[in-house]
Amino acid sequence: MNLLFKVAYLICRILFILVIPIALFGILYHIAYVFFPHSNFAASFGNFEPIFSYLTIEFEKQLDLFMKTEIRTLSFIGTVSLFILALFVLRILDKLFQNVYKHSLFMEENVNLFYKMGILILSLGTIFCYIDGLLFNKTIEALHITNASIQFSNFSYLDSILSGAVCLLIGAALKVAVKAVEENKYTI
Amino acid sequence: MIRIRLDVIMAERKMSLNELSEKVGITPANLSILKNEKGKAIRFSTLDALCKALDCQPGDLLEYKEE
Repeated sequence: MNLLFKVAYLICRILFILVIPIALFGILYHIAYVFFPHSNFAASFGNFEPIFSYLTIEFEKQLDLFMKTEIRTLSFIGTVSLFILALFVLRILDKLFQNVYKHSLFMEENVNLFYKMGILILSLGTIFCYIDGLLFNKTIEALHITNASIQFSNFSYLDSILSGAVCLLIGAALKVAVKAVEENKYTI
Repeated sequence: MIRIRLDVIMAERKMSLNELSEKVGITPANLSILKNEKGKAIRFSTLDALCKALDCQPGDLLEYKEE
């Protein structure tokens, strides 16, 4: 069972290292299109396409929508939020699983880790989910479907609000448990 | 406040900290914490072992004094 936590923190560490170059690429890609749209650097990436949701829509011709600065800026903010969130959460999980493996779950440091994770998911997670939904909604509005209509409800950010709140609640519950364990530790 | 009279009882029984430690199965460091009234709480099992080793009652080891 203890080995499971070792595997978990090693996976988090590997994922953290793997996400760094992807994050750098994603951020550079957006910086090129938002700040230097007419440069050769931006042109080297091809046509701009925001990355959203799990759905891939390939348009035959680049949408005018994707040429708008506000859409590119939104996509940039969403991408930055996503990668900062992913890197921080992986780092926090790495530290958390390492603490559980080497010491115990019932540590004051783990309470802070849960609080940090909750705040990050609540803020950056919500920003990313909302922007993602917004971009997706604008993109499907540009689709021409003849025999159906599509409506997308942008409520996915509620998931991250709930997840963040759950992390904060776990942190608060863990704080009570840590206090009990600490009290017991000083009982002779 | 609750005072611990472990040092008094140990002196009466002429028992050293290490000797008591071996009898009750608690480290000398923890016994020292108890003896010097630095501990925050005591388990019934510890009290039971101390009473057995020192042949006394819990009341002999603990006393209440107004602050």
